[in-house]
Amino acid sequence: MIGIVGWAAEVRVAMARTKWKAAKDPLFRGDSAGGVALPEPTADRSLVRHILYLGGRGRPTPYISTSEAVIVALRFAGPNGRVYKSYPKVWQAAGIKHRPKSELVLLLRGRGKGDAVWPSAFEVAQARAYVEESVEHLADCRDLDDLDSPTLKQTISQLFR
Amino acid sequence: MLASAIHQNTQHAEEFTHDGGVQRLSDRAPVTNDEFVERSASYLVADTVGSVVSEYGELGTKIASLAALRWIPGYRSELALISLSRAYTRRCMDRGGRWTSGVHLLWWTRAKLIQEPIPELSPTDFRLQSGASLARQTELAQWRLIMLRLTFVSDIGSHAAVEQTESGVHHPVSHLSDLAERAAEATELPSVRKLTQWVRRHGVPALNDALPESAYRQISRALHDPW
Repeated sequence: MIGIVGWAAEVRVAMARTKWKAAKDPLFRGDSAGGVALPEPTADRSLVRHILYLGGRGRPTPYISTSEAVIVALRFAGPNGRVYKSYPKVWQAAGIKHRPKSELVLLLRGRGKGDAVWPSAFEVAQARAYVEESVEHLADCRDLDDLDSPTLKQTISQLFR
Repeated sequence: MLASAIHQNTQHAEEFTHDGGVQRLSDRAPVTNDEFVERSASYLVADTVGSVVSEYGELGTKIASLAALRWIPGYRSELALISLSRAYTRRCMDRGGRWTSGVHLLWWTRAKLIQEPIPELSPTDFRLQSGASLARQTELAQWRLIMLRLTFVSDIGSHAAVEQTESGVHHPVSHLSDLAERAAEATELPSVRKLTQWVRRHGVPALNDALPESAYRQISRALHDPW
């Protein structure tokens, strides 16, 4: 009886923990095996441009996309990449701002607000759909513009393991 | 919307050459191994929709493939039909054709907006699991298909906007060129409830104003009996 109650309690606790918390939970990113693609802190700050991946592979962006869900990161890693894990609770000390999903969905409405302002409401809506499906959070690296390239690379590789 | 798609196509074509075959994005290296290239299309043609799509254009009867897709029920067939319809009409225009090359496709899309306002979708239609709940993933898929219908209508409107009639004015269908954008702006969020309400109150009436049934039948007769 006690065992069954204990097991049920563990299940209840596990279910209660499914809501992601910035103070303790990690985020995941799928990328190439050689490392996380480096941000360009001085690049265009448009959230819609980043989320819709306009410009394609290699396009400059000050953001690093991450997800609460490992399955999403696995898809982006592909067969030859890997999944990296990072804790946003330590980003601030490194000069990186956490842009949580909750903030992104607030900004991605109509023709966008703040960094999500965009001429096409349809594209803003598509970006919002992607954020929801990918349970996306962003690492905003715009304040790292004073780092030289090797230091930036070291910073990112230490935060994303 | 169409202009944006054309711009992206142009950029892509400038960056990736055709004669390189399948190329790896990271370094443009040609790849032919099984990791990147599926040698057999057997899995694709085993599926009804995949079979029609894989034969598209091979027998010189693109419109027949599109018509076949029209009669296959389901989300995937409609997704294929509208996607190929966009390509078909754009290709017609690029070759000096007229917006009326897509008039039947436009009429079929109108019918879908009216008769099946919310696309039916089964979880088995998904090929990937997203991070959202299944209910929200379903809603977003439905929203996307309705927006794709409006996008195709907008395409035809854009094509009509570059033509002038004999009297020097654009056909009323040109007024539909921004229909999808108007819908997105009015509804603000990817919501099926808001979007279907907008389509019913504004989208379909705008379509009917631009192309009433009498006008559709007149164009249709002229296409099939130009003399």
